[in-house]
Amino acid sequence: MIGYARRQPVALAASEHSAERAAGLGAGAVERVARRRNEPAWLREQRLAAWREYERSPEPRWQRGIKGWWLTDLSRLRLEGLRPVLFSPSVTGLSLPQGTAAALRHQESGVGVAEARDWAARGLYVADLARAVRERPLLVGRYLGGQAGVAGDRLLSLAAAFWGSGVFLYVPEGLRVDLPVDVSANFTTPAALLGWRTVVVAEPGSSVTLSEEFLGAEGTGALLGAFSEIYVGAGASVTYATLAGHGASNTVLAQHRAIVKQDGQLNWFATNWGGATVREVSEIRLSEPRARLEMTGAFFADGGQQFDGTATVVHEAKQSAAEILLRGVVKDAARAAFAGTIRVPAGAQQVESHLASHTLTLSDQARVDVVPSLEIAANDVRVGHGAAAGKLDEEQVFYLMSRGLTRDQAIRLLVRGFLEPALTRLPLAAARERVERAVEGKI
Amino acid sequence: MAGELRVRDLRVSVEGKPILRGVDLTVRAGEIHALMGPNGSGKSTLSHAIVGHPGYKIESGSVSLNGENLLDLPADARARLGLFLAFQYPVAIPGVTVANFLRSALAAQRGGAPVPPREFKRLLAENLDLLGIQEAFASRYLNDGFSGGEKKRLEIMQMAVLRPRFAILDEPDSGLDIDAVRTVAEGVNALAGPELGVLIITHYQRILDYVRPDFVHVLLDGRVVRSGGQELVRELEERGYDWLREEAASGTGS
Repeated sequence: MIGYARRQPVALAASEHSAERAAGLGAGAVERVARRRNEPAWLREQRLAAWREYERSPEPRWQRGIKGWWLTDLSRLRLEGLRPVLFSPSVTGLSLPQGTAAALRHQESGVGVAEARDWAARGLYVADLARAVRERPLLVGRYLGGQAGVAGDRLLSLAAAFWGSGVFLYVPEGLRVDLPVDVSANFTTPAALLGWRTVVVAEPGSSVTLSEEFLGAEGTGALLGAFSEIYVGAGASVTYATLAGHGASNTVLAQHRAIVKQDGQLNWFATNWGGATVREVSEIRLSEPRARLEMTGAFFADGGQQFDGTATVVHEAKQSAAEILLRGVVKDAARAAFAGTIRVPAGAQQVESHLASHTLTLSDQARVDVVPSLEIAANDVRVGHGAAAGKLDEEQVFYLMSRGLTRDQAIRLLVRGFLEPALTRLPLAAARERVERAVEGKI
Repeated sequence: MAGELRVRDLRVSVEGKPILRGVDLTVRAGEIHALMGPNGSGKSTLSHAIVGHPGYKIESGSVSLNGENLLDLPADARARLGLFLAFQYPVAIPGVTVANFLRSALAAQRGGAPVPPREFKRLLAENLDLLGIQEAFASRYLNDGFSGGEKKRLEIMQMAVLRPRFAILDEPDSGLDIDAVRTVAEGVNALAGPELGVLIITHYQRILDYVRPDFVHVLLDGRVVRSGGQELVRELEERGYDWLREEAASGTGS
C-alpha cells in the first residue's frame, strides 16, 4: 500500500514533473533542502532535529491497546524507497474564486495564487509556506513548530525533516475576514514523501475561515505527513475545515494542534474519505477562560481503507467549552476507530464539554470503534459523551423503497441524511458539494 | 385484468407464524374499499405483504396490479407501478428533509428524471395546502419529531404528490382527534376519482363517515369473512365482531 521504490520503478523513471526531488534520505539531504531554499538557520535546525528524531524512533506499529481492535502494522514500510518531493517555488497567477478572500492552488509544478487586494491591504497575509519563510521569516519563525511535535514518531519526524510546502495564514488584530480563504493541494507524484504544514495565526479580535482541501492521484503510494498549528488569539474566531480526498493508495498521518485564548472560538471541521491508511491526531488546548471549541468530524471509509482518529480537548481554563460531533460511515471491509478524550484538570471549573459520536456500518465486514474517555479532576463541570453505533435501518430502507426509490437510491439518501448534521456545518458551499459528490461516489 | 388490484388466496406468515390464511380481495379503479377487523386479524400484514415488505413471507396465493404479478417484484418496482401504502407508523428519517425526500421519490416514480425545481415547488405548495400543512414543514426532517397527526397528514400528502393508481391507507385515522380525521378524510376525497382505487384499513367507522366506501370487508383471523356495502359498517358498530367469529366457526360465513 505504501510506495516501494522497487514496486514502481517504471512510474518513477517515466514521471516528468518539475517538482524538486531531494536524492535519497539522510542528514545530508535535509541540509541540501534547507540550503537550496536559503532557509534561515532556525528552520534548518528544526529540520535536522526532526531527522535525528526519525533516526532514533522505532519502526511504527499502530496498535490499539484494546482486545479485538485492529492493528495496522507499518513495520514493513520501506521508507528509504520514498523520495521527498518539494513543491516547485514557482508562482502563477490565478483568478480569484468567487466568494473568497484568497486562494492557493498547490500543484507539484507550482503554486497558483490569488488574493483580493483590499484584504491584503488591510493586513491579511496568506502565502505558500515556503514563500512565507522567505517573505516574513521572523513572523513565521514565531509560530512554525511552536505546537507541532514529533517525538517518538518515526513517520511524522520524516515528514517534518523534509516538508515541502504548506500554508501560512496571518490575520492581524481586529481584522474580521468575512470571506473564506480557499486552499487546495493536489499530490500526484508516485512514491513521494510529502510533508505539509499549515499555520494559522488569528490575532486578538480577528476572525478568519480557512478551507483546506487535499486531493491525490490514484495509485501513487505516497506517504503524506501533514501538520497544522492553529493559534486563536483572545476574542478571535477561526473556522478551519480540512477536506481530505487523498489518493487511494496513500498513507496519511496528520497532526493537528490548536491553542485557543480567552473568549476565542475555534470551529474545526475535519472530513476524510480518501487514502489507504489515514491516521489523524488532534489536540486542542482551551488555554484561557471562556475559550470555545466546536469540532465536527465526518468520514466515509470503504474498500480496505483504515481510518484512525484521535481527538483530545484539554480544558486548561475555567468556563471553557467544547462540543465535538462526529459522524462516520464504514463500508466493505473498511475499518475505522475514533478515540475522543475530554480532559479537565483540577481548578478548571464551570467547564462545559460534550462529545457525541454516531457511526453507521453498511456491511458485515466493515468495523468501526469509538472510545470516548473523560479525564476530569475538577468538580464543578458539565461534561458528557454519547455514542450511537448502528447499521442501516431496514425499516427506513423499506419506507423509501415503498415510495419508488431503488434500494441503492434509498441507501444513498439515508447515508447523506446520516452525514447531514456534520456536513451542514461546512463553511464553503463549493467544498461541501465536492464532499457530497465524493460520498455519493462511495455509496 | 386492467384497472384492478387483485389478491387471490393469499397466505402469509411472519416469523414462521401463519397470519393470512387465504385472502381474496379485488379493488377496481374508481372504487373505495374499507377493510375492517379487530386487532391481530391480519390487516397490517395484508397491507405490508401487498406492497412488498421483506419481513412478510408469502406462502402461496397471488397479488396482481392491472394483471401484472407483484409478488416477484421488490417494493420499489411495485411503487413505480402505481401502488402506494400510507403507513400506520411511518418511520422517522433524521437528516433527510421532507422536500428532499419527496423530490427523490417523485424523480424515482418518473424513471429517474430530475423534477424541475419550479414544478416541484408548485406541487409542494399545492399539496401542503391541500392537507393544511405549513410550508416550513417541507424543510423539517422526515417524520422526525412529528406529532401523530402530522405524520398521518404527511402520508396523505405524499399520496397527493406521487399520484398512485392504488392506495392502501393503513389506519389513517388512528390516534387522531376529530378535526385531524376530517382533514385526512378531505385529502383522501380530493384525490379519489375514476383513476384511483383505495383500500382503507380501519378499526373505526369514524373516518368512514367522511370517506364513503363502496365496499366493506371484514378480516378475521387471516380471512375475509364478510363483504358488503356501507350498511356493514353500522352493523359492526352495533354488534362488534364476535357474531362474525361465531358464524365463521360454524361455517356459515361468506
